[in-house]
Amino acid sequence: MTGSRAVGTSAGGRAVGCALSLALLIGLATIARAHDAGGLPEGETAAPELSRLPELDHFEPAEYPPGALAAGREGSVVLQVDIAADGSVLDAQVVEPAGYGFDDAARRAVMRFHFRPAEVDGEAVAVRVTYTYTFSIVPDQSVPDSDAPAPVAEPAPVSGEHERAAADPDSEHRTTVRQTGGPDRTASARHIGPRELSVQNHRTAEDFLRLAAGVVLVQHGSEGKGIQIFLRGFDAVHGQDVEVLVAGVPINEPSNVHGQGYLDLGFIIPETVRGLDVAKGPFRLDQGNFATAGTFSFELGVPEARRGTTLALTGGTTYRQRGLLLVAPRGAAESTFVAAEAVRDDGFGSGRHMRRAGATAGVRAFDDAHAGSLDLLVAGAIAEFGLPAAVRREDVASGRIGFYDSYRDDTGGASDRVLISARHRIRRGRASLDTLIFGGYRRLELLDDFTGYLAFPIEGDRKRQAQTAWTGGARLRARIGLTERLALEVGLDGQIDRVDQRETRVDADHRSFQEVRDAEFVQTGLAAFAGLLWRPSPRWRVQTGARVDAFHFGVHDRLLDAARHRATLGAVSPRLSVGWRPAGAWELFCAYGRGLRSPEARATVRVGSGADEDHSGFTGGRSAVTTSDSVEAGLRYTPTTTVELGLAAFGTFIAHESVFDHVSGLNLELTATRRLGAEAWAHVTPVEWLDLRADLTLTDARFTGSGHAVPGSPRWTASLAAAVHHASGLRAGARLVAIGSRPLAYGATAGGYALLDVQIGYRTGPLDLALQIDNLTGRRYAEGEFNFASDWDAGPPRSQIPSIHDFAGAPRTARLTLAITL
Amino acid sequence: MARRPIAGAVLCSAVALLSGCDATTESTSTNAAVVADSDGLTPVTTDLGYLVTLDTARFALRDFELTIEGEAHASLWDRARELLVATAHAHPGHYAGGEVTGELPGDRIVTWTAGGARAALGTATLLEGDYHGLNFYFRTAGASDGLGANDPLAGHSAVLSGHASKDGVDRAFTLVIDIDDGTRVVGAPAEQVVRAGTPVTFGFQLLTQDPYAPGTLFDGLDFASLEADGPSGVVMTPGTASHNIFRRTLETHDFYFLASTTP
Repeated sequence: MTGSRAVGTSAGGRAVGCALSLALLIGLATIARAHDAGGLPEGETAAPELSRLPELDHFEPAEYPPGALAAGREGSVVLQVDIAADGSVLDAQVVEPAGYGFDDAARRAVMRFHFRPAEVDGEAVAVRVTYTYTFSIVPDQSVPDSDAPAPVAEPAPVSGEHERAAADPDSEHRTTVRQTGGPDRTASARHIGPRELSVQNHRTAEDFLRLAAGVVLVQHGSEGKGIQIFLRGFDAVHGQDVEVLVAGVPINEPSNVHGQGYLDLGFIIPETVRGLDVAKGPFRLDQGNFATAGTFSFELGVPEARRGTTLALTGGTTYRQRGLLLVAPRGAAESTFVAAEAVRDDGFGSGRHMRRAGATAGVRAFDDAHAGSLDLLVAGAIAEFGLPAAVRREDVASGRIGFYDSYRDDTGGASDRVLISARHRIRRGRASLDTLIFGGYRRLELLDDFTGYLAFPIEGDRKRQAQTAWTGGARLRARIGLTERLALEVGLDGQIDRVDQRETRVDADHRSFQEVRDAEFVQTGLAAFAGLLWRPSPRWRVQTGARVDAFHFGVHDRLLDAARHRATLGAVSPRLSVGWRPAGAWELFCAYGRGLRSPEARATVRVGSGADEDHSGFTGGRSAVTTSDSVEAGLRYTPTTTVELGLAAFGTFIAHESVFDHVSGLNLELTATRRLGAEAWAHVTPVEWLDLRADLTLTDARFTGSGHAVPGSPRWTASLAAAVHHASGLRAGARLVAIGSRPLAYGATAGGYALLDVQIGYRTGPLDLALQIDNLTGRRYAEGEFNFASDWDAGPPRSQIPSIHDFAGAPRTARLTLAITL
Repeated sequence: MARRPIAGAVLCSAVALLSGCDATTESTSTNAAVVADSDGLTPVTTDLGYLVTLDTARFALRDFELTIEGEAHASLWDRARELLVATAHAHPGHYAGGEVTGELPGDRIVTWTAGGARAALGTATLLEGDYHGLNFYFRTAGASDGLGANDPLAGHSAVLSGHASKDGVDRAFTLVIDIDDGTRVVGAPAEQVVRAGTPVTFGFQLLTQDPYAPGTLFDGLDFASLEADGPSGVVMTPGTASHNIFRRTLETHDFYFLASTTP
C-alpha cells in the first residue's frame, strides 16, 4: 500500500519521509576504502590536497513541514554547508530553495549535523560542501534511508582549487566539496588540478606554470633551455628565486654554470602531470632553498579517467612532430604508469629547433595498512636545441635582421637528465610520516652568444658552458597530532650535489681561446624545521615554526689554485600563517615568512684573499645566504561552491642580496629592495561544464635607496580564461593573458602585450582529437626585452651603450593531436 | 545565467588587449662634453719626501666608458668610504662590474698642463643616469695621432714632466711610460648626474694626490736614483724598476677623477 502517511522521526510520531540524498557523502566510499586498506589515498603527495572528504557522523532528521505534508508535497533543498575543521557545522545557507517550509526545516536540521572532518594530508581542514536535503513521503518508512546509494567518487581526481566533485551515478545530484581552510593554506595558495590543466595550451609542462596568477615566463632560447621566471616582482632568472619540486623532488640546480637554481623542466611529460601546487611567498615550513618568491610543486600521476594505454600523435606548424605512449593500467594507483615521448620541432624562427626524447615510469610498490605506501619513480630525458639569443630592436627596425631570426646559426645546447626517487608514506592514528629519497644525474651544455663582438672583436663573444652533476638527497616530513587541536610538524632535508663545470670563450670554429671557469665542487645542504599547527577554535588556524638551513661548499677552482676552498653558511627562517573564518563565506589570512637563497659555490672562493695579492682592485664581497622577508594578507569569499573570489596583498623586503656576477667573477651586493603588490582572482562555475576564471596582479618592485624599479618584472598581469568540459566529450579552452609594461635597466621600458590561446578537443570512445592554437591573433610580440650592449658587426666602431633586445614570442602556431586510448 | 560572466569576460578582454599594448621605450640618451681638466695637478710630497710639482702630463688613451653605479655597488662603495679606505684592501674599484651607459669612443691624446686651459676631448654619448665611474684604455701613441717623430710621446703611452725637490735639491724630471696596448683602467671615480636637457661637462682629471688615502701619484719613486738627463734633469725610461712601479700606479684607478666642471 502506498499511503500518504509521511514518515519521520519526530516525537510526534509523524514520520518525516526523508529519503536522504546524500550526495555530500559521495566519494567517501572510495576514500574510506583506501583508508580502510590502511594506506593513503593513491596519488597523495606532500602538497596540500583534499585527501579525505567530510563524512557525516551525526544526522539530524528534519521535521516535515506540516503544510507540505498535508498537501502531499515533496521537495529538495540545496544547501551550502560550512564545516569546520572539527566537524561542526559553522553555517548552512539555502542556495536552491524548495519552498513550502522545506528550506527552514532543512537548514535547522543541517545546522545540527556533525561530520568527521575533511582532511589534507591527514590534517583536518574546513570545507564547504553542497548538500541536498530531500523531503519525500515514503510509505511505511520511519527512518532516513541510511542505505542511500553507495557513494562513488567521480573518476576525476581531487583537485581544482582543492575541489572535489563527487557525483552519484544513480541520482542527479552532484556535490562539490571545496576546501575552505587547510594547514598550509595562505590567501594566494592554489592547487591546479587536471581539469584545468587539460585545457591549458602547452608545449612542455613548463607552460602549466602560466596558470598561476602573476607568473610570466620568458624563453631565452628555444624549447629545451630553462625558462626565465618572473613572479611577485622577482626576476627569478632561471630559477634562483622560485623553488620547483617534481613528485616532491627538488629540481633547482644549485650553482648551475648558467645560473643559480637553474630549472630545466623539459623532462616532465605533460600527460603525467595530475596537479600543480602553487605556493607564493615563503610561508610554509617545508619551502626551502630558492623559495624566496614561491614554490611550484608538480604532482605526477595519471587520473583514472585518463588511464589505459594511450598512443598519441601530434603534428603542428613549425613542423612539430610528437609521439606519446602512455601505459596506465586501469584500477592501479595514479602513481603507476609508464610514459614515453619523442618530439621534434623546427621552431618558429632560425636557431629554434629542438629534439627531445624522454620517459617516465612510476609504480606504487605496495600500499597496505601496516607498511604504508611506497611510490617509485624514474624519469629521464635527452634533448638538444638551438639558442637563437636576442635581436637588437634597432636592427630589426632597420631590416638588418628579421624579428624571428638569429645572428648566429651555430649556437645551441644539450640537456640530459636521469631522476629517481622512492617515497614512503605511512599514517598511524594522528601521526603521519612522509619519507623521500632521490638521486639523479644531470648534464647541460650551452653554446650561446648574446653580445656578438662586443667583448672580443676578433673571436666573437660565444661562450660554452658545460656541467655534469650528480645529486642525492632525502626529505622527511612528520606530523604528529598532540591533541585534537594541536599538531607538531617536523622535517629534515638533506641534499648533496657534486658538480663539475666549465665555461670557455670559443671562436667561430668553437676553439677555446679563454678559460672563464673550470671548477669542481661539492655542495651540501641540510635543513631542519619544526612547527606547530594549532586550531584554538573551529574558525581559527595558526601555523608557526622555523627552519634552519645550512650549506657547506667544498670548491676546487682549477683556474685559481690547487686548493679546495671550504665555506659553511646558514640561515634561520621563521614562518607564521594564520587563517580565520569570521563568517561562513569569508576567510581571512595573513602570513609572514623568511625565504632564502644559497650563494653559488663558486662565489665562496674569494678572489684575492691571499696576503700577497694585488689589492688595487675590488676583489668581491663575501658570499652570503640571501634572505627575504615576505608578508601576505588576503581574503577569500566563497558565497557558493560555484563562486570563489579572492584578494591578496603581498610584500617582500630584502636588505642585502648577494649575487655572483658571472661576468666579473665577483660577489656583489645589491642594494635593498622591496616588492609590493596585490592580486585578485575569481573562479565561477555557472554551469557544471563551464569554468570561468580571471585574475589580476599588480606589482611594484623597487630598490629602496634609489627608488629605481627592479628591472624586468611586469607592473601588472591579467588573464581571463574559459574552459568547457561537456559530458558529450567536447572540451574547449580559451585563455587571454595580458602583460603590462616592464621596467628595464637604464630607464627603458618594455611594452606590454596580450595573447589569446585557444584549444578544442573531442573525445568519443577511445579516440580523442585536440587542436591547440597559440597566439590566435598572430600578434608579433617580444616575450622578453632586455637592455644591454651588443655589437654584431665585427670591427669598430663598437658602442657600449645599452640598447633594447627582443626575445621573440611565438607567432600563431597550432598543434593537432590524435590519441587513442585502449 | 552564464551570459553575464561571459559578457564581462569579453569586455575585460577588450580592455586588457588595449591596455596591454604599451609601447616599448628606449633609454633616454643625451650628450656631454668631456675636457681634460688640470685641477688635479697639485704639488704633493711623496712618501720618500720629495715635493713634486707636475707641469705637464700627456697620455695616449682610447675608448672612455662612463659607468653608473647601478644597484649592485652602492652599498659596497658606501661601506668602503665609511672605512676611509685605510688600507689597500678597501680601495675603490667597486665599479669593476659597473654598467657602461656612456661612452666617448676613439683614440685621444690627453694633455694636462698645470694652470692650463681645459682642452676639449670630445662629446660623450650617455644615457640618463647618475654616473659614478670611468673606464678607459691605454695605448701607444703614434703617427696617427699627428705626432712628429721627435715628439717624446711617440711610441709611448704617457709622458710626465715636472720638478721634484728634496733636501734643497730640485730635479726636473721626465717620466716616459710604456703600457701594454689595451690595458684597461676600471672604476675611476666620477660624480655627475646626467639628465636630458641639462648641459653637462665632464672634466677628466689626473690626480697627484689620492683623494681617499694618504698616498701620491709618485710614491715609491726615488727621483735621485733616476738616470740623469742633462745637467739639471732626470729621466725614467721603460724597462727600469722605477718605471714598473710607476706604471702599475698609473694602471690603477686611484689617481683619476671625472669631475663635474664648467665648459
